[in-house]
Amino acid sequence: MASVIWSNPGNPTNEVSRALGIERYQLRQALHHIKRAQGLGGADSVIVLSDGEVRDRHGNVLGNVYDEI
Amino acid sequence: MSSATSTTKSKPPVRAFATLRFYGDRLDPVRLTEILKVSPTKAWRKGERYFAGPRAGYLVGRTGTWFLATDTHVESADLALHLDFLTRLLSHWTLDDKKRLSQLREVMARDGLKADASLFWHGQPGETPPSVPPQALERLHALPAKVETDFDTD
Repeated sequence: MASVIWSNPGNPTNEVSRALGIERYQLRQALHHIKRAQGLGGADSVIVLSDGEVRDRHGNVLGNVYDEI
Repeated sequence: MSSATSTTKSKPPVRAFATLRFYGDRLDPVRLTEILKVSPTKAWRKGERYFAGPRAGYLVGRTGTWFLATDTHVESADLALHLDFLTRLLSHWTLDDKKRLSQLREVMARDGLKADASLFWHGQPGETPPSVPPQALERLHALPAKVETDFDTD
C-alpha cells in the first residue's frame, strides 16, 4: 500500500524525489503541471504518495507524478 | 526495474516553462481552442470525466479548465522563449494584433471565466533565477491573468 512521502506546501525536498526514483527537477515539473492545472498555487499543500499519486488536502486525487514525466 | 523508473528517461530535462489556464464552471474548452488555435495540454468541462493519465486514470473536472504548458511546444531552458510563445499566442502571433485578446476577454466576460499563468524555472545550485520580461507580464496582466512564479534550484 502506498504511503505518504510529502504533505506540505512549497517544493518537495530531494528525499521525496529520491523516494520516487526521479530527479528533483522532474518532481517539481510534474507537481507544477498537476497543481496549476487544478488551480493550486505554490503555497497550497499537496499530498504525494509513494506510488506517485498526488492528492489535495481533502484527499481528492489530482494526478500522478509519473504521468507527467 | 520498476516502470516508474523507466518513465523518467522519456523526455529531455526541460527546466523552464510557462503555463496558461482558463477556468470557470461554464468553460467550453472547444471555444477556447477555436480562439487560440492551439490544442491545450489538458482540458475538461465541469463535471466531465477525463483521462488524467495511465497512472491517475479518470478524474472528474471540478470546474471547467483549459490548461496549456509551454514545455509541450517549446524545447528550451530559456524562460523568455516560453513567455514569448505565450504572449504571441495571446496576440495571434503578431504583437500588435489585439483581436485575439478581445475575443478572449469577450468569452471570459460572457462565461464568467478567469485566467492565470505561471512561470517555472529550475536551476543549478547557486544559479541566478531568470528575469521576467516586463512586456510579457503586461500582456498576461492585460488578459487579465494572475501570474505566479515558481523558481527554485537544486
